[in-house]
Amino acid sequence: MNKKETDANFTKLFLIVICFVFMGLFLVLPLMVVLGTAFRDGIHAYKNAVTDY
Amino acid sequence: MKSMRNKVIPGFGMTAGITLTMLGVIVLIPMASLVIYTAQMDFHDFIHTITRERVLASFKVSFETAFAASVINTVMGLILAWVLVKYEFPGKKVMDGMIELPFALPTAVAGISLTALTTDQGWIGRIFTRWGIHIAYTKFGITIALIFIGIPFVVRAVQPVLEKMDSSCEEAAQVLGAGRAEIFRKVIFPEIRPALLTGFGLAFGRCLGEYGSVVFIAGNKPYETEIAPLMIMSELQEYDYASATAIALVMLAASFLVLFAMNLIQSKSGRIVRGGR
Repeated sequence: MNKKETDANFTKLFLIVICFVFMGLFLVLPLMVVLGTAFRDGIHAYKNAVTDY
Repeated sequence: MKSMRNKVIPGFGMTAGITLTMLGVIVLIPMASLVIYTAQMDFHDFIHTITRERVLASFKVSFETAFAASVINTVMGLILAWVLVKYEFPGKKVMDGMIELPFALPTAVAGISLTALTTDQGWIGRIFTRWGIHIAYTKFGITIALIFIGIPFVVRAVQPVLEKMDSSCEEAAQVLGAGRAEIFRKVIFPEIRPALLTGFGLAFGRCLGEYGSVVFIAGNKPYETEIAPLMIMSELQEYDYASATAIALVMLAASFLVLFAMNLIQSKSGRIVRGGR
């Protein structure tokens, strides 16, 4: 593998990692917090919360 | 009459009528009502309302954070669109599908979850607190919420342009000895610049008016983290519709100016790309 190809692969990997980190921090983590908080006290507490009207 | 009969696509009159009616009902009438409500106050009161120290501070916070978030979104949106179009990797389809998540998630839910994450006890907040950086209840936190809200606009504006871009120009530049950075700067960037500006404009407009996700993470400290939409809400809660619409009118004018400037730059860069002057 020549230097140009190595550089191209490094750039590709670097950009993909940046995207995964960004998506993880800004999109996945908030979603996990929502789900984690919703089910923190168990499925029954969740069911009671959404049907308690 | 003859020219009407020769039109390849019929129905111009009807579609134009529907378009103008929709534009009038959905956009122009609400905007006109803003002007009408504001006109209830005299010019002196209008100036007094929009130049109150607290209102000016809220404008500053709104514009600064919306601009910072839109710039970050433009850079990250370009990288995300580039990666999704140019590379193959595991999880690509999931990543592509998740871009629209901020549209699907109610803004209040996004605000609550981002606040929970970034407070000094939150998963991310506690890491930054060790270095003395506070995210929630600061402008930094507002910017984070706006980045979350605005990212799909840039990605979805740039992605189709990258997909449709003809690779022959890149190949020609490579054959002529241009480096990858030079190809990006001189061949690819001029092509995607209008789409990037569109994404920036859309994200900025959305960020400027965002209320639901920001109101939780901002902490709403007067003169520090109060945003302009919150000032509008405060005036509405006091039944002072004229003041609320006066502040809204300034926001509307500013958004309109930004979008107009974006369109101007876009049309200029479009002419240059097409080879015109």
